[in-house]
Amino acid sequence: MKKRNIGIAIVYIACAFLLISAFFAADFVLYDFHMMPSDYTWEETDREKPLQADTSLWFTYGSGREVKFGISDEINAEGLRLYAKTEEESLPITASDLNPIREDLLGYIIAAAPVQTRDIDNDGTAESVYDTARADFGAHTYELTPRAFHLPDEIPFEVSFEERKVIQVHYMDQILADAKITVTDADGIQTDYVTDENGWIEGLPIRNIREGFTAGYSPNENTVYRMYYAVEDYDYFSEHFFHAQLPLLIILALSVVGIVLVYFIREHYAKRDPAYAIYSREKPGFKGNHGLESGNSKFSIIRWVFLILSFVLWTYSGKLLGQGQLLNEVAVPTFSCPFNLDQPVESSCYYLTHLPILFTRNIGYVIMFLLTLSIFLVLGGRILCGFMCPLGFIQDLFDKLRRALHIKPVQVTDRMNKIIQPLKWVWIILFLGFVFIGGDFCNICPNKVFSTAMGGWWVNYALGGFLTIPLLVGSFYIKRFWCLMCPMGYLLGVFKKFNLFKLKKDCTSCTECGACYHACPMRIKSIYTEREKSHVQTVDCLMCGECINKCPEDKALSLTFCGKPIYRSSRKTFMKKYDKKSRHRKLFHRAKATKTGKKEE
Amino acid sequence: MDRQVQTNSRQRELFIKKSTRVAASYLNRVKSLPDLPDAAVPFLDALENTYIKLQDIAKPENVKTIGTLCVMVPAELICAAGAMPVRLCSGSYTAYSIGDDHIPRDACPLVKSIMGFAQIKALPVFDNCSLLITPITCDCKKKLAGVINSVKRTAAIHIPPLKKEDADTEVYVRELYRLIPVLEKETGHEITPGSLADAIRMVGRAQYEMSRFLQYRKYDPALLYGTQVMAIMNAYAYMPVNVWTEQMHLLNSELEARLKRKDFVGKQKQPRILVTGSPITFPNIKLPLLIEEMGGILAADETCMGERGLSDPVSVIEPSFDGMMRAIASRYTKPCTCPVFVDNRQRVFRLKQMIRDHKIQGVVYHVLRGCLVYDYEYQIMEEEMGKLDIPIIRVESDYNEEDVEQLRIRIEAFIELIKLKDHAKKKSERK
Repeated sequence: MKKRNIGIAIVYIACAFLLISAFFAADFVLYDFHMMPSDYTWEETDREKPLQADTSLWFTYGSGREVKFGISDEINAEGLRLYAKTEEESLPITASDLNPIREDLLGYIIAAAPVQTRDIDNDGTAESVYDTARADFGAHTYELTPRAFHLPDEIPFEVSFEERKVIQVHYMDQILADAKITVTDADGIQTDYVTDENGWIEGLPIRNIREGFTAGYSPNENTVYRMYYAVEDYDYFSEHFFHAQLPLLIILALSVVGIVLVYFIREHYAKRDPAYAIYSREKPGFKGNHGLESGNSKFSIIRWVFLILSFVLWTYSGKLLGQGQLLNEVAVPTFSCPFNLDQPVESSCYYLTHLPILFTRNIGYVIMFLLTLSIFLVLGGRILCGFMCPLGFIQDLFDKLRRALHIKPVQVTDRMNKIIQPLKWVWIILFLGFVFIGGDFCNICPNKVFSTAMGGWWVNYALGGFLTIPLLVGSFYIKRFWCLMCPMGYLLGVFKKFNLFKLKKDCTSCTECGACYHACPMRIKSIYTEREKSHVQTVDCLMCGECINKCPEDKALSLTFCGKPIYRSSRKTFMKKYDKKSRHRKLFHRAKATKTGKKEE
Repeated sequence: MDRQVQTNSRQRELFIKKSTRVAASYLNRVKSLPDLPDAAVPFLDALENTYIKLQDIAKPENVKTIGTLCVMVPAELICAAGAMPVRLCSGSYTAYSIGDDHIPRDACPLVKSIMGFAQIKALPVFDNCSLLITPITCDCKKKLAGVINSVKRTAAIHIPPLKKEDADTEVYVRELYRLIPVLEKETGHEITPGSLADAIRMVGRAQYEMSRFLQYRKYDPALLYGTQVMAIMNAYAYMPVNVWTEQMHLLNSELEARLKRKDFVGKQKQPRILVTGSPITFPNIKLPLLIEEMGGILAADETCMGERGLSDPVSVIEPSFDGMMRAIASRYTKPCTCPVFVDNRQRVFRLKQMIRDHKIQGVVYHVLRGCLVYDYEYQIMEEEMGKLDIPIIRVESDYNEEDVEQLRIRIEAFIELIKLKDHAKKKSERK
């Protein structure tokens, strides 16, 4: 009774702490990358002109916060005009505004060279060539807000990176549709593209925007407009990439401290337990599993493959495939951080936590977003948690680590699961409602660090970064700790009746041995006490298949897809591990050896 | 004093003479059932060694044996401590009559039989075990644990009568932890995570063979007689686990061959009967014998000497020491359908499952005289079987041969009833 009260008190204190601290979330800074444009330096490059730059101007980025510009010898640096964008307007600036960079600038800079008269297509007549170069850098680089400058007189031809996935072309402040655009890519190869009715260059790989490219357009025979465009970006395993890991390393280090601390605190209290002397014979360390686990079942191997693949997909695919966020209207409800722009589809948590922002976008996007989201919510359900969520993957890794180390888990009883419920509701309220009182859930989101840092993205971490530490410590001792109170998971679980994947139970076959309950990371007790209904899936069920794996009864539990069982429990599979000739040390001969004076192993 | 010793020794001689005779006669009846598989013979030999030749269990030298009662004492722990478990629940009529002097009249005969063996000291299996572990299950076992302590050193372990809440399982986990030092002191070996895992694997292999064996019992017509099965399961109590497993492996192969040859022992329309209720232990196997001698086939049993003891495997979730202990504790209480648990609805489901799997046509509900907990559950079973339209008969018996004729008449009538019912069903189907 006493223990229970302490538990309830802790949960309520945690709830209160969360609710109060959420308001000051931005003030708890775990790590700040100083990414405002004013933190950048502006200098001339000493490197050679890159292949993709057809223009006489270009930009590159240094490994830290350096924007470097280059000018060919043929043009005079004096005649260079510079333009920048602030929150309100686009305006011409001077070189002194960039040294240091003015604080109100968004980090979108265009440099325009004076008109040159050259015969660039070798047809014998000289053309007027308008060269411009554009750089996007700093915290706003990958934002969704429109970024065209709309300065028709100074910059008639303009390309900009919009919607996180397309290059839009403006000419004379109008969207340029059905026009031929010549693009020079990083290998120096020129390809012709045609723009569509939105002015989007169709078929242009997004890889170009990160490597830099030149877009060329000639409205008539005698005029050529060219713009070099490079968005701030870095290669994997560059200095920038490793710097991005720093906050993750800090969090991991603190988590390890936390794990060790919890271990010793628990040891201290466990010493009062009379059983302690016995179970503490097993010291932590990597020792193998005594041959009691028959390796992994096929199902759990498939699950791990899915988890790993989706982690890679969520974190790296945009850059690896060079397509960026290609399908950003497709909203998938998982906890992969949308601050990582390399995810192929949109992780819906950003718009779910910023609902007002969702409705500022065009109606087509909103409809597509809600449609795909509801398909995943209703038909997919929590199988996404078990198979796709990158955060689930991280938690499963921590659990595997603990098992490998042979450290006792913290036993979560179903009562503890009930006690923890208020915390879940607090997270749900914060998740959906915090934005309406002016908050930003991303500041308290404990899941931001993994996909951003590991993907090499510089993202600042506020209170959420600190909350990651208890999350990791928790998931080390309690399997899928976060999932117990995950607001997104709750949304996914609500439509359990319509899910394509369902967990079914044959109540006659069940012997109530409780193995499923002990194996369940979500501690769903009804799965073994239920004796009437065949639909045993609850809001919490992740469909991880652990219960089926540990169930020794034939067909007692099954995972069904559209009503057809795809994975069933079976006595034969369960018992398979005992099939081979027992490789155990001869227990009864051990006695003999000791009696005759030989040393016991 | 001399006279006392003399009477005791005379009583002992008499006892041995009588008890071996009864055991031999029952064993012969089992053997005389046709088509005994060759691989089943060593199991019957084990019973013969124990009850007729009066030998100790065939174990390596210097290995201690530890006696257990009921199905709730984890064999894994005993094996992990380097000792050998022997299950001492007995069905000896002769021992029962001796125990009758020490135990109240209304107590169940099984307990009296155990007490009788403890007093007479004639069975080496019984006498050589260095410790008796008694789970506190029903009232008779509870008091036995206290009384028998004066003749045999006993460790009692508490079985929580409730098992739905996590706290209840926790109680049993603590109880097992408490048992560990007792076992270690007895055997002189430490239970390590490694040895516990080895023991779980060893018993797991027995359970694996058992699960294969149970599959062969599902065939209709039957592959072997249920009475033989009861004897084989009973032999588990008096054989080293690994020896039993190896022999079971051979038996399974033989049954597989039988199945391929379609060499069934039963006939097509033989009434398939399930026995449930109070433990049926050798030599008290008059009930299965009667059923099969009267033309029925004992297709399944839901008793603690038979299927219940070995059919549920340990499902280790965490391969750590504590994880193994919890898995063992779960396995020995949660799926157990012993009526000593307060809420035992799961027994109904277990029976339903067995009726479905083994195509059972009739249930014989065995109640030993004085076995209250099983008698309590007859009502609900009758109700449930009524819903399923399965005939059920309550058979009360005692540890003597006086009620055999009466039982014979009742069981014969029951089997005729099933045959008639089957016949009527077929007729109506034809129409």
